[in-house]
Amino acid sequence: MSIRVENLSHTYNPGTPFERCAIDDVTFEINDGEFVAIVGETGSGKSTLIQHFNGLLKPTKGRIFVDEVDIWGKGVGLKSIRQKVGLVFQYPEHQLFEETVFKDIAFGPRNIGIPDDEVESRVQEAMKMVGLDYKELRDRSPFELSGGEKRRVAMAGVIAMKPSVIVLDEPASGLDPRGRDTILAEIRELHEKFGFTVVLVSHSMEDVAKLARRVVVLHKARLIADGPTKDVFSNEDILRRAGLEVPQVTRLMHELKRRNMDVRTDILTVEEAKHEIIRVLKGGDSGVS
Amino acid sequence: MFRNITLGQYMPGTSFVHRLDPRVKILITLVIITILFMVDTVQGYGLVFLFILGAILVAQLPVRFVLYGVRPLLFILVLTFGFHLFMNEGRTLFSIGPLVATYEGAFRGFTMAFRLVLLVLGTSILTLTTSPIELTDGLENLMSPMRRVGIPAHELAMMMTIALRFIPTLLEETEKIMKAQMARGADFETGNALQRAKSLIPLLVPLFVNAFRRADELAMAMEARCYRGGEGRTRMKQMKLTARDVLAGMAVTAGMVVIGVYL
Repeated sequence: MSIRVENLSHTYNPGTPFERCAIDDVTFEINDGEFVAIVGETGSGKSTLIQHFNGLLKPTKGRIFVDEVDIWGKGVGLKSIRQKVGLVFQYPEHQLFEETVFKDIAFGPRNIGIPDDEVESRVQEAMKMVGLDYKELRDRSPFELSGGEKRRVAMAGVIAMKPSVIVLDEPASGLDPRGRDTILAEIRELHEKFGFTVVLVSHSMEDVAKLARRVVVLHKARLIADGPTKDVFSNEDILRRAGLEVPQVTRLMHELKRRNMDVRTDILTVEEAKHEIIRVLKGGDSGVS
Repeated sequence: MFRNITLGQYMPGTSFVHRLDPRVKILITLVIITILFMVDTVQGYGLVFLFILGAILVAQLPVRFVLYGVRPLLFILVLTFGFHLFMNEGRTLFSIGPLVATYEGAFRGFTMAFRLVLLVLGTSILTLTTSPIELTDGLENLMSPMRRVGIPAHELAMMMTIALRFIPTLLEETEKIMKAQMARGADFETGNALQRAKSLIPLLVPLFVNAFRRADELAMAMEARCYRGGEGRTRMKQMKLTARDVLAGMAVTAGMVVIGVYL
């Protein structure tokens, strides 16, 4: 399933002194099966942009197509759009409200009218996907879980609606390094093993480099770059302009190059860097890493 | 959806009105409110209105934006006008069944509604040109003589500061949770009264949980910085009355008293 954004603009508080343009004429497309990262500084418009994907915000100008259907067209039910495009907000654990984990995860499926027996299997499945033990946790209160567990419950709440696209806003923020690694590994699994199209909003370039194949860069409400992760990250100027840090390993490779070591600079992970440095040190010239 | 609230909002600026001492501004506002309940003639209302309009201009506030602040009041205004229109004795204007509208009623209703509009405009100038901190500092200072009769001026002011500070945060939070639940298919707009009340649970529970968590954190942060009430507290920004403040205060008060007594 694809999401197509056409000349999208969004202005908050139009006509008041607090008027602010958060998205300015953005056009791009997310294709079925992709893993796309949206990066940009705080205030660059990332969160505003993703809230258009499932019709939580109405564009001031421009159109959004989900599966080639204009979501603000006549007779389009926003509920069905929200089922197809699952949105996990930043700090999603702050939205938990039910008495038990089961009930909370079942909230979404019930809202879209799924019958009770299917709700149960969906909750079970969703919990498994995010690495939560169904039997042990189903009757616990979500409020007595750990931070990382709460976040997983909230994610399961969206997954249980069986969307085809999952949009995650800063899913790893506020977690300790281990929690971060696990949640990111699970997101990778959602994409690779369960086939979700994933849109990841993040300002950790390390995470993006590890996970996403394609990167969209926002800067001051505008889209300034869109392409394969390697290409975008090897263009240091664009990232600088967007106020973002190049991943540490990439910076290292640039530095080595500057000091006359003939390495490639489109390196994103430590593993790749290791191979590349070994290759150059051995004096090899095959570009395979 | 909650971003359009103008009442109680502060608009930073450097105008004459912005720079006035908050205590003077609070007192002037009180004077205007008092006078508004004393005047009873068209000329009187007209002059107060002109004064308020003048103050808006001097404060360099966008006139349309300030006037928008009256909008939430529209229902009350119509209600006030309606009651007065039909509840007064006098010459008949028109009648609907047993309800008789009178000329006197129309006049009464109009002036009452206008009085409410002026009240809101007058007080919104105060909040628009005074930052919440200045406002509560000013109030604390004005209330401090009442400490002798057991009114905890500092604590009240601190509570107000905190409340004001968290209004935007709570509104933002409400919007965020609403959106998060809507993303899970929640529906806050349709259904009968009972269904709608029930649909608020997924909103209210997280809102309260977060508010309590935030209150805990704030209390901890304040204690960590050794806050222990108002006793012996000094301030970074001392309020000082200047000649300008005194003059402005006296001029407005004098003008208003004249209006109140003669019109």
